[in-house]
Amino acid sequence: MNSESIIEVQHLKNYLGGKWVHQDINFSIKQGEIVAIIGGSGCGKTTLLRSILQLMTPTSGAISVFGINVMTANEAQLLSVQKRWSVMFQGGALFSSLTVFENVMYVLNEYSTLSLQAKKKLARLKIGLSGLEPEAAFKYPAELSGGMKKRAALARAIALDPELIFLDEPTTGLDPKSASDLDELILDMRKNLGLTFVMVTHDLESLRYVPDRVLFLGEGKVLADQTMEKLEENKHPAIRDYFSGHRGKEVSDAK
Amino acid sequence: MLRKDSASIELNNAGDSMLLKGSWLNNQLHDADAWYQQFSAHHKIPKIKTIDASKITAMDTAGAFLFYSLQQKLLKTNPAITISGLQEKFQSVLKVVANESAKIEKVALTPPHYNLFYRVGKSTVENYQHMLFAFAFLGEVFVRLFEMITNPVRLQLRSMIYEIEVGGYGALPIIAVMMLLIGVVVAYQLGVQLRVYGADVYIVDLSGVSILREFSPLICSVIIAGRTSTSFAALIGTMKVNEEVDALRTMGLSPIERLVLPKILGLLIALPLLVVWGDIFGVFGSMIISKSMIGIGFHAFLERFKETVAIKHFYLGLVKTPVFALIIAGIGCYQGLQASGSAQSVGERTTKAAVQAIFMIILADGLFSILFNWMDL
Repeated sequence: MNSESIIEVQHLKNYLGGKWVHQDINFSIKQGEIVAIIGGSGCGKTTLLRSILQLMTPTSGAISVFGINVMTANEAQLLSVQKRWSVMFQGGALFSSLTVFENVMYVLNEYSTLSLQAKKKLARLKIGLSGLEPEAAFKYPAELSGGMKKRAALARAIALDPELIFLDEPTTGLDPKSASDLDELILDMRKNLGLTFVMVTHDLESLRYVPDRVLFLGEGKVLADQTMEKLEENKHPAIRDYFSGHRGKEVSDAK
Repeated sequence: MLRKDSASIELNNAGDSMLLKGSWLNNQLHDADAWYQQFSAHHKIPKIKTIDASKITAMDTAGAFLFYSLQQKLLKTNPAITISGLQEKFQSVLKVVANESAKIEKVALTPPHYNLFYRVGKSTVENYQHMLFAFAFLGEVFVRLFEMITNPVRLQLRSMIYEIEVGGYGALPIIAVMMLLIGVVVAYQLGVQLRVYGADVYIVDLSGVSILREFSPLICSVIIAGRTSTSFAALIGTMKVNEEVDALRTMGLSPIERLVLPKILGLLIALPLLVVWGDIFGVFGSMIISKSMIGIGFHAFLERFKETVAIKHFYLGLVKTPVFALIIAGIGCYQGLQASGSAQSVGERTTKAAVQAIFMIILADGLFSILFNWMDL
């Protein structure tokens, strides 16, 4: 196994609801990379993410994260992996009964050995880093706009300085300015903190700007694993079809 | 990959230079942080000339933050402090953290704190609004009910039948078991007392009347309040949080008509039937005790039951149930519609639904007793 790869997925197969969602998925992600996973609706992006995160058990195959096979890992091993990754869920998945500040503090309290004073300051720092106004810290998720929720979710995701962050549709539902800001934020964090990102997204603008590589899922396999520029030239019918709508064309034409 | 060397801070013997070592990562920082807390608690912070950071092997934002805090503390005593040896890649992290921390320090932020008057005022206004909402809810229920009566096509028959199945049919076993036990307990206690007076046979009259008139309606309603009222509150509350209720409104459909009325009507049908079902098992429970304890056989029990227990007690028990059904379904749905925003509020509303429904049932039962007494029934 490549020692540099953070995630290694080999021969992953998933049988769900009477059909094979994944037939043979293979890829690896190196440290410091930003990799996007795309594909048409129902191609198993979420299933793949959930398999890696161990929210479901895949039918067969091997998934190793930080060199640990998460499918066979015992509880302690899995926990050591879980402490090093974090997820920003599509809807934010913020704890709705806690304020943004408490949401960030929640993880810090659980896993950080710092003093309370330092943790509180650190939590505010993370909220600042994710681009939220300081006043938003004491608001409840229900009082936040969609964009602020995404930022708050990101603040919670980076609370423990994870090495690997999964982003599920990070820019969906954001206005163009907020989406661009978030793109920049992701690139900045990779540059300054050396984080690795795995993102699932449909946002073509951000796909062209952010990731180093794009994995195109389809027919239960990884159909393409290349840069966005090359992917848009790819002649595979499923990939052509994905970019064939007027949105896809506009982005290609804009180049 | 996992580094075991935790971060540490050392002063040299002369006390003018500081050596920073180890990996300054979130989970390795406890020693350095403890050292820093102790260090900054001193009244007089020694004058440090140089910070040697060349032995720092790793740094994340938490480490950079501690580094920054230390640096700020030392800058106060010696503005000309020099930092040497910090690796290039850590400097960018430090810069990000320093920028952000400087921003945070400008705005002193404390959680909003409210005084007593504010809180009393707020809860007064809120309670007043809740009262208005409750009246509005009740009003809308009756308006929609009236509309439905004048135009029965609008009745959501399928959802009503579903409610009857889930809330009524599904509750049959628990009601049967509970009422059987209540019947046994009541008859047993009566039997013990009656035997003292040699009035054994009155067990039939007494247990019959008490079960038909009070126990069955009350116990069934309380069980259904715990079972169904909470499920209504949780269901509608979750729908409210997911904006499903708002979705109905924007379609021009009334959530009261679509969600609340089928539940109320369903329970209005199911609860009286459940009480009859409970009557049967309650009386059967007392029959078992009468036979085993006093020796009144089933046949003799039923013979006397027919003679002495007037049918009016059965009716008086049943008359109360529509009111109880209205309380259970109404409070459940009302609390559900009051949920807002968070998972916690759904939980709170569900609790309130159960507590208020049971409280109101017992209150209503007391009022019925007074009313029936006044009417000489």
